[in-house]
Amino acid sequence: MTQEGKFGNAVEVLLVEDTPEDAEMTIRTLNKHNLGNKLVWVKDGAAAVDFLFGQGEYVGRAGRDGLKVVLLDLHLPKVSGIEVLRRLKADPATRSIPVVVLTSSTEERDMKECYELGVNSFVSKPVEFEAFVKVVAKMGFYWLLVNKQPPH
Amino acid sequence: MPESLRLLLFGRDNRVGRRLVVLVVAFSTAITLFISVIQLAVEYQGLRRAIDRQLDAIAVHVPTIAASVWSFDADQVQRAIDGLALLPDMAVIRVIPADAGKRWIAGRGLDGDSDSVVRRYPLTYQSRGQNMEIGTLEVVASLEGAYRQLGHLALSIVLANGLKTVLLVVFLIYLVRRLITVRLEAMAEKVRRLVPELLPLREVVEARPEPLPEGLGELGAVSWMLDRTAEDLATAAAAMRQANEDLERRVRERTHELESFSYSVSHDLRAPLRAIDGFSKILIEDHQQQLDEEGRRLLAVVRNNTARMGQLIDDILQFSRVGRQDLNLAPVDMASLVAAVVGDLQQAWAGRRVEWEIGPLPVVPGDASMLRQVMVNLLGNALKFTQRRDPAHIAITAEADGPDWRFCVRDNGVGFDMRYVDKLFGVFERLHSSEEFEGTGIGLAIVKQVVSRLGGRVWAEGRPDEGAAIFFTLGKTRT
Repeated sequence: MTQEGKFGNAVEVLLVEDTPEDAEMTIRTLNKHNLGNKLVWVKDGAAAVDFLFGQGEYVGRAGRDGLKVVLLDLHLPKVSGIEVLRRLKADPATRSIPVVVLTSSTEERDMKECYELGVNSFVSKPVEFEAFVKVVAKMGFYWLLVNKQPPH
Repeated sequence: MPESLRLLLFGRDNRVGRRLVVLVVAFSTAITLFISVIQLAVEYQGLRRAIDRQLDAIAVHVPTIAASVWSFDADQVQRAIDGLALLPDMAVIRVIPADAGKRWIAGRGLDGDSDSVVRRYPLTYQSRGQNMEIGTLEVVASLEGAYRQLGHLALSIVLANGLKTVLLVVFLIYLVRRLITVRLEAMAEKVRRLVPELLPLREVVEARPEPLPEGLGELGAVSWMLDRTAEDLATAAAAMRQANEDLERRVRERTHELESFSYSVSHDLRAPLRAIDGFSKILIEDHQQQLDEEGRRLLAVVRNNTARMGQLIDDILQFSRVGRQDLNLAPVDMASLVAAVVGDLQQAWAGRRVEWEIGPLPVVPGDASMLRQVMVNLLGNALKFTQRRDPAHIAITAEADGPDWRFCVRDNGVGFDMRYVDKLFGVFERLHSSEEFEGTGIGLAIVKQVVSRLGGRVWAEGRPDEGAAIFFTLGKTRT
């Protein structure tokens, strides 16, 4: 599923998700609504940081330009989602990229911390599939089609 | 002095006793001396007066002796003065004639320079109408006898006083031991045991068998032990502080572990569950043709159960959150809280006919969000268990009960058998099958958890098919 570079600089969605099943369901849902064409999926926080800052594996490859939303899980290997969010929002170059935390966590603690770090949206993944599909689809529509971003 | 006697008299370096004895003996001796001097002086006066009276009495014999001298009856004179010499205290009796003729002398004489009293009597004779002085009778009385008597008296006074002093000392030592020493020692021993008894901490108890230093006396011992006690208290207080800190640290650690556990539960259990549900659904959607009706039914069972498990996980999390969340205490207006909850529930259960009876409700100190959870659970239950009643009747009332408010949520629903009342508030305890009424059985457990955390009690009354009443109390003032 990792297709970085396939679209040049036209990646619109960065999905940071370590659970392949969740990733598959998310991608499937977005694809069903024609929203998942320009999506890159990374499986840990370190890869997400590399992608966003064009370093490591991502030197000189498809970067953050044109990115419309980062779908970020919190519970990630290597670098946690909170840490990815912190670095993203701390850097003026990446601060304006919309980040949606998409997590299984319902902990208020996480939610509070994310908002303090400047998350754009916090979405709890419903267990029930229909609800999950509905949430992902709504989110895709909103961030990819409705929301307007400042020019780069 | 044998050891036992020394102990009896002075105890173990009996400072208070010894000082008291010395002072009492000195004071008593001084007073005795003073009184004895007065007594001896009085006695001396008495003895002197007795001698004077004796000398006065001799005057009676003077004319007889004068007559004998006049008649030159030498034998008669000698006999007379020998008789006088026999009287007590008489040392020397002399008759000295005026014409410096023969003298008469009687008595045992004086020893050396003994004190004496001398009395002279003129010897006169009346001849032809005129008094003639014919000589002198000289009587010397010795004070030796009087002094001897005074000496005896003084000796008896000293002996009696000495005996009295010895008895007084023994009695005093007994009293001091009995009334002061023994009590002080008991007090000292109590003080010594006080800290280890009150604070049975290892640090204190181990430091305890410290021998009492010699030569302190009772007061010194008590003071020494009080000093030790103060040190022990300081040690104990420090140990206690340490123990408290340890405890708090451990509570923090455990809480942290529990939070991590809850976090793992919420994240790690939900993810696979979502996959089971999602992929079952994808299977149904994408592979319809390969599945017959039984296959689809079985997948529906799988999905029903994943939904149920998801609910259980959510409930566990909610329950654990209620337990560890910090209480946000503030006055809560139960009337507006209940009105809001009833409003929400009426929307959720639209189409039901429910007669609400909401009594006047007080403002209580509590945590608004937790109390809201309580009312949502209780009223939700009431609505759930009155599903087959038309109209349903649900009453929410509050009454003052001593220092508490007693709240009651009563319905006319299916009720329950009082035999199972103990199970009602347990986690995941249900009195009805899930086909009859949905739910995981966490609602009343959360109610109990919240009410307990706010310092109240919760209980229930009910009868099968005659409705249920859930009671809980909340303090009128913050406790």
